[in-house]
Amino acid sequence: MLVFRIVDPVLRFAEPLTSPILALGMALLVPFLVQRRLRPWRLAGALLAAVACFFVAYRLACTRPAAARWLAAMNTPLAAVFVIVIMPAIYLPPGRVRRAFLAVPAVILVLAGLSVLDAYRSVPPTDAGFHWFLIRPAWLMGGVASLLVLVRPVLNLARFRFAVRLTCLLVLVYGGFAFRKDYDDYRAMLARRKQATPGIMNVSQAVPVLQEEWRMTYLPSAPCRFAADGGYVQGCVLDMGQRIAQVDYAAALRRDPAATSTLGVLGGAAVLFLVMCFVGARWFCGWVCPLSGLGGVLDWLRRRTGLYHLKPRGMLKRALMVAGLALALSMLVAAAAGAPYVGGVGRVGNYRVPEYPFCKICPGQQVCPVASGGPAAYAGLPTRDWGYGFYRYACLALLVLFIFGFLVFRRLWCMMCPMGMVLGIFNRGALFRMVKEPLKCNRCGVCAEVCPMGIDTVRSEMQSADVGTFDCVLCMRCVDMCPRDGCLAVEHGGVRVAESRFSARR
Amino acid sequence: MRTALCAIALSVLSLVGEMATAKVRIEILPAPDDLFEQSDGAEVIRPAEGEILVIGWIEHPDFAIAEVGQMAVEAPDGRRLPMLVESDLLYEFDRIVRARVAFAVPADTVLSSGSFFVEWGPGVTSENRKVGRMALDPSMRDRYRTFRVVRSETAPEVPLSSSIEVVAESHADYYFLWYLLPMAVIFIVLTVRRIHARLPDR
Amino acid sequence: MSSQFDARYRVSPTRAETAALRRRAEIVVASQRESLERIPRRPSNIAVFERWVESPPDDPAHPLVGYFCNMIPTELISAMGARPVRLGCGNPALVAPGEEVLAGEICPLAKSSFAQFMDAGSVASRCRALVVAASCDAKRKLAEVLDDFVPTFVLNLPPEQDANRYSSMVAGELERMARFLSDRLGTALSRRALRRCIDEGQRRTGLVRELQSVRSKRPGVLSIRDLFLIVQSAWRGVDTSTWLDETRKVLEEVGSCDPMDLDLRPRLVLTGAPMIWPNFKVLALIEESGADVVADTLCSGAQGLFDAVVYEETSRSALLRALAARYIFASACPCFISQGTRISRVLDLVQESGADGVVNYGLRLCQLFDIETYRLQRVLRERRIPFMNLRTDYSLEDTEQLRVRFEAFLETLGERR
Repeated sequence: MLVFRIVDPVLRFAEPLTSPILALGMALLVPFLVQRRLRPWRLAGALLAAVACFFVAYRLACTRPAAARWLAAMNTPLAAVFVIVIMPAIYLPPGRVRRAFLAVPAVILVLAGLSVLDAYRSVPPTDAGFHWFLIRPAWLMGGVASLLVLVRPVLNLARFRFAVRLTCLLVLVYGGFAFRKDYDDYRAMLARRKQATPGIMNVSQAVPVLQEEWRMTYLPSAPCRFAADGGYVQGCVLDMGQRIAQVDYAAALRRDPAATSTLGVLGGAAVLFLVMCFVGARWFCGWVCPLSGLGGVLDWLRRRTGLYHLKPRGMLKRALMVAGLALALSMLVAAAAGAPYVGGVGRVGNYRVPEYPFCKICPGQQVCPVASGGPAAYAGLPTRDWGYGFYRYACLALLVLFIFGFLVFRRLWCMMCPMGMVLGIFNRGALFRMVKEPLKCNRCGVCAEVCPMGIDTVRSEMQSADVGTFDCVLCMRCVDMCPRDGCLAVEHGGVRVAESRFSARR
Repeated sequence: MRTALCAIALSVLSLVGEMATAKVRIEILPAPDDLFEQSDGAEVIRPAEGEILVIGWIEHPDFAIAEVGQMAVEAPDGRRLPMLVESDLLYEFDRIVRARVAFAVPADTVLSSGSFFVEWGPGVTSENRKVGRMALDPSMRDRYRTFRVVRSETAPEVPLSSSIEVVAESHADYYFLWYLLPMAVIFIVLTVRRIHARLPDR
Repeated sequence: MSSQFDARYRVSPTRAETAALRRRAEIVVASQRESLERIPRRPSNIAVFERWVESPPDDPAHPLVGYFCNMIPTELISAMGARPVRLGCGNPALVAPGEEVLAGEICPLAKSSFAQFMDAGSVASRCRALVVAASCDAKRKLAEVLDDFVPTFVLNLPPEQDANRYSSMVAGELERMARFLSDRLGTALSRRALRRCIDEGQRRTGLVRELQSVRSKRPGVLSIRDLFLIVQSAWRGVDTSTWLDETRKVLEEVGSCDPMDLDLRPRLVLTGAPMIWPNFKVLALIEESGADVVADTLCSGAQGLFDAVVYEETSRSALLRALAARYIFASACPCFISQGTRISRVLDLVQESGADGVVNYGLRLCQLFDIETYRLQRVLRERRIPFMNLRTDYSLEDTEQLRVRFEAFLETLGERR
């Protein structure tokens, strides 16, 4: 298409925008500059200068092929979308400039649509028909983010959150099937589907959309790669953690090219992951995670029946957290220790060694295939030769805990989820901040009542203005429900993104 | 105003893009026997009348090009010779790092003294054509040669850069350690902010 | 459901001679109405509110259920098909008759409220049931006495306003209240009806907040006494949508007023004990001395309707907890520890409205408000906010003395401005 003949070279020129280093730099620089209250042109000029410096530095670094490789291993279109679409949507104050800015997501959305049509042109006439959304990942991410940014002013906070969660659920769970890169990729996926035998203890041959030879994209929270056809992204932090545990470090020290290149790819993925953690903290748990999205369906069922939920007390929450951490760490150790014996190559004692031990007990590997592929995708429980039935019972117990937790307790799983705990570290000190004005608080306790994580700090903290906690998934229900105007607010990099306003809800 | 001008100037500079162009000498050698083994589906490439076909692998630690047209063979008289490139290229990080190529040279040029060079980089353009797998005709053995990239030399006019290349190459294996830098930045910022938040603010 | 009171020692209700009682009460009401007429600017439909505050409209389909205290969730009563009517009494003429029966050092509100029941034809006696919050000793024991007159339910309150600890307890007490009302009224509590009443209550809050914000900027457009009449009539068994319509008319009128105030009158925040019609003595005093009350934390004033019930889940338990959150845990009543809620509210209002000082109204014989004054005074002094404590009872005799003291206080404010 003619449009893309102009747009593609621009995209190639703008390749440094896809680097998470730039995203991190902007995430630190923009709040800093906004707080200085510069005049708008100076602010724009400073940002443009910073971006230009980065471009130059990037190109200079790329003159060394080794540097080019390690820079490229981190890149993802998500970083570019963040810098171009999401950050201005958050940080631009309302006014003429913001209204003018809305042209950017509109154009991106249109181009995303055109990109699907463009991909359909390469479908041979013999196979004409509907092949779902053949869209390059950059355009999918840009298009989805632009759509959500454009739709935000029309929806209130609760409905907007529902829209974001639904979108993320569709993309992450069904993305491996419905959102492939192009026609060839779609056909390859269909071919793999025919060959793959779903087995709960096998590593499926499914290839996620965002997998390339030298680049893996991991998303925070729990986007499980065991969704049908590999899902959209590579997986969750524990998938990455297990791979990192399985690298042959001795060989890497000996400069074995295979080991060093694996370490390089994983290192790039880890940097991208950490930048996303820093920018979003546990917001990913509250707005993106498909496991919590599926759990939300169970929660909705409970509400429809008119049953009240159970509340986990302090001891139970603590016990869950410890259990989750212990399971994750022990499975990482198992992954490292079992690396030489993986995949039926060898056995330890009489028992086979799974390649990804944590995944074998994680409810994600059971729930996501069923959610995306239907009950036929469920392949039953592991047999006895996978370790004293440990995997069998742990698998079953965690699945029951997952379903029961979401059905009866609102978000019990999230209190033990190791993927969420990694994000919890970034809840205080990174960009998101939960703020309270204690003078305006009347201690009614509605915030504690609606909190799905059972957090009491927002209600009980009366001295300090910062009421962020490790558990908070930034669902912002407390802010939405608080009856006192201006009492609670959520800030991102110092800018208010949500504030309690009773009159707004009426 | 000044910052805007600086920004524009820097953006223009960045348009320069990658500036790495390298030029290495290649040695022409007689074709060994294993080149003439037949393989299925391979296209037989024959040299034209009065020409010799030189076929071989371009591989060098610094060799990395974005597309097939960015490499060229330079004959001793300075002419650029078009190449046939086997489509089974090795890609790494979106760049071609190894290629099997063939180029035709007039017979007298080969026998004369003088060096052939292979040059690559974003500024280089050459009419190279992609073909399937290449096979040689065993009946014309003497009309084929092979070539080899001479590794210990770099472009003659920049003798100093060779030591830098060697140093860079030995560190290339540890590039992943650079990832610790942004990770450290993130954690340091996080820790500083949390300590700051814990201090009483009233 | 078994009664909370011992059935063995019931006594027949004491009645009094009603004509004299009513005549004396009416004289007081007339004198207060007279002082109201001296207000320069009043909404055109204020007579409607005056009528409602005196006697609730007739509605045989919906029986009256009386209650004391702002802490009783009126939505719960409305959802069961009854009309909640607040029975706290502010008429000084009824204190003496009440004192003859309930002798002792009891707060005037309890005495005069009791006296209402001695008149068999009063609003109080016509109630089908009574709900009393166990907020203070007087109310708790008064409830026991009143059970002989009208079937009474005592809503037990938690000792601390700790929602984390006591939310379940309060929800349980509200469930008990619902069962009591269901026995008396013959209806059941439905979630849908409760939600409808809560939504209506939210609309009421929205209007009151708008009125409050208008008054905060230009208090001259609506007298504090008229605001109190409007707010208190909402608790007098009036159908909510009718009240909303009339109040919207008031809001339109005050919103379209031309700004006549030149910001010369001192602005005060009022806090303290309930001032129920016709006990508007102190309000009249403040306004006639030349100051304006821009905001108040009185449970019988704007604060009483300022917060709304908000709910998310619609299960029975969730709705009851939502009621508990707004009525019990957000209450600024001194019967709970801690008083941080009330002090925060005073400070927040002073900041928001740019008030010049705070006036604390203490009712004589109320220990709760008296002891709270200790901390309130010191906190305000620390922040250099001018503070005055007016301690009085219902009688109109000390009006002049109060006026002198209050005018002196205004002078000190005048020097600071």
